[in-house]
Amino acid sequence: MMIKRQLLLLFGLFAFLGNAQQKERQQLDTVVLKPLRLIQKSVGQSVLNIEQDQIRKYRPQLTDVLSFETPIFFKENGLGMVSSPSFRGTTAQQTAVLWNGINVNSQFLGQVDFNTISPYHYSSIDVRSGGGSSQFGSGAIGGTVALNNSLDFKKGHQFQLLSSYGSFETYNNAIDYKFSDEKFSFHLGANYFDSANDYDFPDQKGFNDNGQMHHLSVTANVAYRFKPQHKLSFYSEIYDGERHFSILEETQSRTKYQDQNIKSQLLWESSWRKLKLKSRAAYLNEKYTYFPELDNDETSTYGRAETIINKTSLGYKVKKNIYLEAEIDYQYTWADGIEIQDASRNSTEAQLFLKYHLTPNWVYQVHLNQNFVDDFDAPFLYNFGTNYSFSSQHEVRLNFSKNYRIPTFNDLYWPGSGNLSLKPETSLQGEISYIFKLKSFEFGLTYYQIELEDMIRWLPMQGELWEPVNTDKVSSKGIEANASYQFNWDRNKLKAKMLYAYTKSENKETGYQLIYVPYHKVTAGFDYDYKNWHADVSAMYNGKVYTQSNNKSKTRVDDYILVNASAQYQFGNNQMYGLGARVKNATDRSYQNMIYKPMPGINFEFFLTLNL
Amino acid sequence: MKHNFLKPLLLALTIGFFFASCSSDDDGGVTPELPQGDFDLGYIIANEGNFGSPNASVSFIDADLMTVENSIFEAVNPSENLGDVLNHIAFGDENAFLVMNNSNKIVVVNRFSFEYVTTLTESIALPRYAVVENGKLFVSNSQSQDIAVYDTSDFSFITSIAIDKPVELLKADAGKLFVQNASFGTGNEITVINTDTNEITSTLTVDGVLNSIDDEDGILYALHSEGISKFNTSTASLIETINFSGEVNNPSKLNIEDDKIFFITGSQVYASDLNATEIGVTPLFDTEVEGNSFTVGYGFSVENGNIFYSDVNGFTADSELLIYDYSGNLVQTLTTGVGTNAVYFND
Repeated sequence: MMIKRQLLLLFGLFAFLGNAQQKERQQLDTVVLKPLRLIQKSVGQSVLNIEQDQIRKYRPQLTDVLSFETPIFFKENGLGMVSSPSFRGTTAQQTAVLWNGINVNSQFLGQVDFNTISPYHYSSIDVRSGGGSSQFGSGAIGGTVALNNSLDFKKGHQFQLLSSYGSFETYNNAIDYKFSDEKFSFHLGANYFDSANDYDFPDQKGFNDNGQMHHLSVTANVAYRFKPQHKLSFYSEIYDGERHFSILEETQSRTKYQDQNIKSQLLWESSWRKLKLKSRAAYLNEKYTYFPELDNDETSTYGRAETIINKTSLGYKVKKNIYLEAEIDYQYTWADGIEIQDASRNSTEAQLFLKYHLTPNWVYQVHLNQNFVDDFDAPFLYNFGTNYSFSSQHEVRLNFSKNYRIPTFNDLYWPGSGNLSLKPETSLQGEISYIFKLKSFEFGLTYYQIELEDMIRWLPMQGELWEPVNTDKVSSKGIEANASYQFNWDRNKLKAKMLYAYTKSENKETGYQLIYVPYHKVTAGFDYDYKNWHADVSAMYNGKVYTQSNNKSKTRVDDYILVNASAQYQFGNNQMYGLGARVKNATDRSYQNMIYKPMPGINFEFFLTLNL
Repeated sequence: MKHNFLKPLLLALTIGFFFASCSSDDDGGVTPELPQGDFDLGYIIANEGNFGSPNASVSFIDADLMTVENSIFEAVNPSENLGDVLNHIAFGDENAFLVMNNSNKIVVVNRFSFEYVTTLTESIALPRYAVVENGKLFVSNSQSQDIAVYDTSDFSFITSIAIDKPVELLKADAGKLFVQNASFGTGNEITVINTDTNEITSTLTVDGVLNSIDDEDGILYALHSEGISKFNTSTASLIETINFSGEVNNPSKLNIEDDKIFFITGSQVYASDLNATEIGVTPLFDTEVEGNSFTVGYGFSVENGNIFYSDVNGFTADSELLIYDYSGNLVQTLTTGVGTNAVYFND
């Protein structure tokens, strides 16, 4: 009953804002031109776009941003600890994360730990629901999260500082410097985050003991335009973080974990008449170190993987309305460590892409992919999508694809548990969407279905040992709905958005809902500007999740609503200074998204910004 | 539903004077009379729970195997949490010692009522197994690779015995503590410690990868990849090694009970006569439990004429405890807690 009332409240609030909006409308914000690479090849699918000003409302860990802004469910091992996504009812390895177009899922785990990505420097994050393996390779089954750095030209010098201090001795500092002229663009950014993270558990005794964490993230990006049609870009990012693993009993061993990740890539883009060439070389280095005893380096264990990627595509505009592109990708990965010694893998991929505007209001795309990878027979992948607009207001989208995820190094080689006979997971999936647009109101509704075979599941063992098996068949069906609205009157500006996801993801053999997949998730966000003032509210609702595969209700994790709100005042020349405060978990809700991992109650932060 | 109270009694009479100091789970009751508490004369089940979660639990199954009561520790002690990974339970005359691996503690309860007594934490570092002998509690610590020694009368810490090798199963007999120095498929040694002086006296070796040890009637049995080696517990010397009659993959979980040798390989259960000259490799029966190699056969115990085999369902749900008689007939299936790893008869 409580849940229903809370849901009604959210919907009611939204409806109220909707009505209020009809009074007055003004023109939209100036549209900022940005590279929409992901959207260009997403015919039949929907892409959510999160801009930097939204990203910076959250903790500098990607989990927090996406929890409040997307339908993805996260299970966090306590605030800031290991975080795994479930997108459309899929496993953590079935969400692909792209950094400026390169897949950066861990070679060991197959997934990204979303608390080891500091998102403040990205210009935007695009989140696409649904299949994308033919475009981005292994793992793009539930969906794709694209982290983008866009480099502008002719903007001169820009400097930005964000500094905040909050509950649990949490410090967060981010600086960004940008310079650009006609031909040259440069961006240097750094973020340092440090938190004692020793929050008291609401509603139960104890506190988050040994939960401290800190990270430093530095990015440097450069672009040079030789002529308008030739551009060379370089992107790089270094992440260095340490998290202690929180304990529930004082007597438990205090352990910690370090992540060191380097990402870099060189990108050449050229266009010549009807031809478009894009070639990139990337180098990725991921390293983790686990310390089973805090102050004893000798007992630490580590793993390191290096990846070299080369992608080259050649596009040809056959006609005004037909675009054809061929791509060859090569990837070499090498891993070493205490557990995995000198494992390597070669993978070569050929892609063909066609986009065809049959009529101005009807477009379709076909994406084909064949991968040749060591140790496996990779399946032939495809993605077919079409968008049809009945009018400027009504649009229908369809997409059908075959996708896969290949086993990771841990799946294959983990001592004592690695399984060399694993096959790739494959999925067949489809979706249909209806989009309605009326001026600044937008509404989308999607139904999707994913049929997954040979799902690899790591089952927890005694001690820290787990083993992967290629067993389950999973069927995931669901609905995603989203709506957004924006209106201005006098000097008031209001943006409202909301999304809802219903997910039914069941093990076909047992009929049970997968563990840690909520049936319901709702998010809502409101941004309000008046003169020098800005205020926002972000809310999310996570439905109950089962933590045992037999859906035992006694061990389920209950549903909860989280509400954050902030207010900010801008002043000085060109409003260069900003001061603000934010309240998180404003209703002081006792909640957890992983069993036995209590999250913090109400907490606060104060922040200042400087824009030069 | 067959059970036999006379058997332990006969055993007790046979080995008479050993009896007073005998404290293992093989105890026979001298006077099989009225239960001394709610959880006497029945089976104590250790459910280790998920690693990293405080959901370890203890179940109780009555002697006729008809009913199961789960989470008895929480039921008796509502204000206490048992902890994270119950790896083993050792029994003293009055108390049971619950070895909480990932909590770095030993929870002491009255073995018949399960009422909380105290918690031991000094020099406990990722403990694995424990045993009571000679008025002392010995605990194997996998992190510090030593044996912590406590006084069972006042629970005071006595000392730590450095081993500097992997330490696993502990057995005690004839004034000696036998420490298995093998875990996770490596190691072939057993350290012998004098329980009076707490000093290492010798090291025994077997010709194969050691998996598990058990003792009965003055003999220590060691299951390894080539067969079973028998040692005299009084002299700490090898009696003989009996080999497998053919190929066996990863035999594990040795149980000596009722003059029989029991062990498993995955879902298969094997039984041999204690005096056999070689160990047969034809399974007694197959539990047909499926899963991956780590979780299949996670819990296996032979107690009081029954064979207990747990299906831990990959640790993603509660366990099913399958109970067989010595002929391999399934007599009962009961649902216990998460990660059932052993069964002990309490009497």
